[in-house]
Amino acid sequence: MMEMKKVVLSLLVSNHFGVLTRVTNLFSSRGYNIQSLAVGETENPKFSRITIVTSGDAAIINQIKLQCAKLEDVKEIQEVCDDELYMREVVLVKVRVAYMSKEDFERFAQNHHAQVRLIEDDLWMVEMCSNTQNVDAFIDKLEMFEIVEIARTGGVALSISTHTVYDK
Amino acid sequence: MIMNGSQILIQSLIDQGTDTIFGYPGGSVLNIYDALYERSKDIRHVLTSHEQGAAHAADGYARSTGKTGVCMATSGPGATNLVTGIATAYMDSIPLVAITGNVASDLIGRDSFQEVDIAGITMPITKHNFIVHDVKDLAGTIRLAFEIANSNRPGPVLVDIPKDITAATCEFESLPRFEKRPYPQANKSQLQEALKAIERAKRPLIYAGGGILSANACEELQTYSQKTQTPICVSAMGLSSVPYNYELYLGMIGMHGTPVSNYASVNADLVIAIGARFSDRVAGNRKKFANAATIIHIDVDASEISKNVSSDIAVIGDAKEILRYLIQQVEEEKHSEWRKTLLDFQTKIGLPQVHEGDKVDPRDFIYTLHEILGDDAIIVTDVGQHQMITAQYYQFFKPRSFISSCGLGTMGYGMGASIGAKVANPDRPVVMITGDGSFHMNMNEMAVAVSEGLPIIVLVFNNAVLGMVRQWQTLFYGKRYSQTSINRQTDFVKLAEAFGANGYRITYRNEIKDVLTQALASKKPCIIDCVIDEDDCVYPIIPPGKGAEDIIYGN
Repeated sequence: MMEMKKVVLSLLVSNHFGVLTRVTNLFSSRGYNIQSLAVGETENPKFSRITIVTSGDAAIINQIKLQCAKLEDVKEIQEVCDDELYMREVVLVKVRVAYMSKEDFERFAQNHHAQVRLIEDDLWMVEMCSNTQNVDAFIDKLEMFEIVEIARTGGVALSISTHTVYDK
Repeated sequence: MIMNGSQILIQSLIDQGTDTIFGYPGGSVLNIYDALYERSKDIRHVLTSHEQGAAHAADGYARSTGKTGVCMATSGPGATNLVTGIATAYMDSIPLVAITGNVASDLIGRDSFQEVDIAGITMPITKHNFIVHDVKDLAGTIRLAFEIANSNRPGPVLVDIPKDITAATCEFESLPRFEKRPYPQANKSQLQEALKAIERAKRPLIYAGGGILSANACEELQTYSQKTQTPICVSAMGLSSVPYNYELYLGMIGMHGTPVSNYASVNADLVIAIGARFSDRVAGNRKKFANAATIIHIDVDASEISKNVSSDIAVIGDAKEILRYLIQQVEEEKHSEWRKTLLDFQTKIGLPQVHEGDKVDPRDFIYTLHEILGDDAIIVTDVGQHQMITAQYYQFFKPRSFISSCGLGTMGYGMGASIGAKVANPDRPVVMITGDGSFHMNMNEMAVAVSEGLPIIVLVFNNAVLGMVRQWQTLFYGKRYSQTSINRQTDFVKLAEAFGANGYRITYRNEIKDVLTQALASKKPCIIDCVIDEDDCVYPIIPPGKGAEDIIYGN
């Protein structure tokens, strides 16, 4: 058995509707796994960037890249390697804070580089943007309060390097 | 010139080289059919019985010519009826452009009458598809559809056109004929590696697939094989790429392949796969396939490399160019010992012999068929035992003369496909070999053969059972014949007459020649009902998931 690894793929795709469906359709029809996915416009309105976190052994990762590259709407595909990976995700948490003062909770949030906003009484909106591990750890910490609702994005990524997805 | 969308569509199809459309009218394509009415001198429309038949006909047209097949259907059920045909073409990499009408733009998304999201439905079975939102994009989209369908690895493309776009007008100017995109350039170092492996090899084997036919590389394949004395086996899709009597031709490989092909794959020290994809019907056990061999995989589609069987050397590019390069670079070889090993094996174990007796053995029939038709005929099949027996025993001599749904295994494919093949090749005999199970699926298309005056001979191997499924029940399910004894009471001779075709019945071996000769001479569409034994099994068989070592030779 080859070793399973987690991979971040950055796809430059045509910016028209149906493209995201084509990409996700490919993953489901060939049985590839999507751990997270984020999509948004780029600096060029003709293109969108899809960031996909997926996993598999080397052969599967290679297949995923080659199959994606065959899609008419996929213009470029880049695997962002670990040492160049700059990835961020956002989490919003609605949390009820019964046993802490307003000031103490604000300090707690600040210590974790999170933004907070009081909704009413003891209900807060908490916002954090960081890498996956920090977001996970922060949610764990919030468990000491009463978490009412969570919304979390997939990661968006760029490589910390001079080269871009356009280079090829 | 100002034209409406329908006129632009028809003119664009003509501009891209279309001479025939297989289709079926309906509400959403009324404007298109109105435009077609004006242009009936410039483009032929073949009206099928069912849209599935139209898709298969376009596919048969494409397979038999190498040109792009074009089919057309209305929205909703018309479009969904194309789906099996599009999937069939996708699995076998056949260039197809499917045009569907859709409800008008302002009705889309409202569950309107005969509305369906055909672009969504066909996403996983097309190379690409389009919805045309603006009449100004139509001509460019059609050209692009042809370009995509034919570039690199061919495949189907669907263009969905809402009804209002077919009526909207704009300024139109004919676009030039599409050009294929440049092929990927074969990597130099991989080519060098390939040459080294070829030089080292003592027991080389070529495994050729449908890519040889779509790359138009049959001649190069044979030249390479001759120069290096490398035996060739083919996948079902590769059938007809090598003349049957070529001395280094071993026949089909895989589940129902020839014993010698499978033996060669086990014993080869080098397998050169060209335009083939190591499907589970070739490499039943992908971990064990050709384990003793270095594998060179030549393909135009990079994603085929190591998808099923991992290869040691991958050369991505056009098979024709790559073979030409290899032919120049390789040394002449003899490989006499290897060839003798294979020849000895072949003499010892061949395909099953024709059964003796008065009853018809389909194998014998297939031999006789070739004897009477000659090398020029196009043989179309449905799917099942008759298909595999044809693949094993028919002697193909000309490229693109075997037309069959090999990847998707679409029962009911043959009737539509034979119409497409005959329309494209009016001067060549077209014989559709089918079983009573497959024929029942789409025999409605026989009506089209009659009304279009297409003298197709339909040969029904009638064993009153679903033979291939029943064979698996015999071998792997303890003879529990669940739903495979179909027991239809259809009289195929009367059926032929009801369609306005000729009907014949063959019960005994000695009737074969006469009936075939009569059917050919009649110049009319014919159905030949040929009664065969229900217990006849296709051998050899490599059980599913197993390797060539586990081959069952049968009786």
